[in-house]
Parts: sequence; structure tokens; C-alpha cells
Amino acid sequence: MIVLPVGRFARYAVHAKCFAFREGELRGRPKLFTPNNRGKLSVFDIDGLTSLETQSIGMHVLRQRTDAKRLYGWARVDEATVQSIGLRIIHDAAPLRHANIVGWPADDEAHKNAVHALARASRAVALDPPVPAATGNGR
Amino acid sequence: MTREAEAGVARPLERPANAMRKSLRRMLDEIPESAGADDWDGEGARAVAPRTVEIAKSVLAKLPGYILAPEFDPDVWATPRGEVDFDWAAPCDAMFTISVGPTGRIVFVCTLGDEERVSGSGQWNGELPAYIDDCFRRLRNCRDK
Repeated sequence: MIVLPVGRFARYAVHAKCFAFREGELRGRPKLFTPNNRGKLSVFDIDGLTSLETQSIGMHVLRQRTDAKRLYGWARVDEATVQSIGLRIIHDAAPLRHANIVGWPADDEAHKNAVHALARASRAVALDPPVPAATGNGR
Repeated sequence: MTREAEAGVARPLERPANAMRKSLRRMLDEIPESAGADDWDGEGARAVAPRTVEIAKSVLAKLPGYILAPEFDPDVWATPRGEVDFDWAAPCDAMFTISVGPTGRIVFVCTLGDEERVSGSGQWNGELPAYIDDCFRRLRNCRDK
């Protein structure tokens, strides 16, 4: 029997144009799933959390950023999808529930393909209107 | 030549594309300020070189008008690897990226639904490669289905 990893992870959108409706599903765009230049894509483990708790983590993420003013929502990916693309999730729990998606190909074309694959597999939740850093659910 | 063209007025169908081209051009103009120095994202990002922005402007100038229609929701942005990426997302479950790299290398990825992803790369020579034109056509066909 094959047991697939079941973790669910959220990538938070703190800039505009990170989501798109495709075939009736709201999904993340490649911009949202592009890792930093150290080869890390910052995500949070949201397994078992409610939408409100998930948003609360997003507000925390937003407040750590100096270049962002609003939380636009998040896109979910599951661990099995991440692994199927050849990437890995490294939990570091700093802050709580934080993890990085790593293992990105060095080759430019393979790198963009991995970003597209992750964006294609995601399901997004958009906050309408986006929540400013100064308000919202910031427990 | 139409009367509108003679008067230097864009035809109605061209106006949204022209406006989008100008909007993307403005976004490109802002990249040297926002992403022109190393570590511009606070996470070790590579600076976007002026030459990369210039090539991206050449690419923008060559994009066919129909691909700049608002329903494709075009976007352009600096990546942490020092590239300038153009992105399109069509409601028919298609995504397209053209990435301009620091050495003038163009990488493209076109994802059409679950089944198909096409990608490739080449050096920018001032003209859109045929394979990118082909992806644009497929994106348009997918929208028109």
C-alpha cells in the first residue's frame, strides 16, 4: 500500500495579481510560487486549521513584511503534490508552523516548469477586499 | 488606410491592448528603482540589470496586441533571480510565462490545463521566436473555444 503525505500548506499573497480564475477554480499564479534567491519558498502548515486561523497566520506574515500593506489571501498546496514535482518541504517551526519548499532545479527552464506545476496544482482563497495590515484578524 | 488610422487614432479593438502595453511599460520603468540593487526583497534577491529591463522592453514592444487583452490579465515583475517575467493567465486554465534572464536568455513556459506544458529557451535576437508565437495562438484559441 502506498501512503501519500497529507500535509496542507499555505502560501500567502501580500501583493496584487497573485491569483487567477481558471476553469472555475481560483488558483495561484506563478508569481506567488516563485522561491527566493536562496531557493526557499516560505509556506505555513495549515493542516487542521480553520479559515480564520489560516488568515490569522497570514496577518502575522504581512506584519513581518516592509514591502507589503495588504493580505490578498492564500493558495493551498498539499505535500503529495510538492513531492510529485520533485520538491521537498522542510519544517523549521520558526515561526510556529513555518516551513520552506526547497529542492528547486538550478536550470532556468526546469525552475519555471516547477513553479508552473505548483501554481497549476494550487487552490486559492482570496480575501475580498484585501485586509490591510493595520486591521483584520491578527490574533 | 482607415480614416481613424489617418488621424492617428487607434481602432476600438486596439485601445485596450495599447493601454495595457503602456501600463506594462510603466511597470518596467519602475523595476530599476524597486529591484535594481542586490537584496531588494530582503531575502538575497539578485539585482535586475538595466540591460535585462531594456530587453524586456524590446519583448513588450513585439508582443501581439491580442495577447495584451485584459482577459489574459498580463503582468510583469522582477524575480528574485534577477529576471523580468511576463505572465498571462487565461480563464480557460492556461498560464504562460516569458522570462527575460540577465544574459538575454529568454525562457518560456506555457501550461494548458492538466495535460500539457510546453517550455523552451533561446537567446533574444530582437524578434519573438516562432515557438512563443505558437503559444500565443494556442492561448487565444483556448480562450475562443
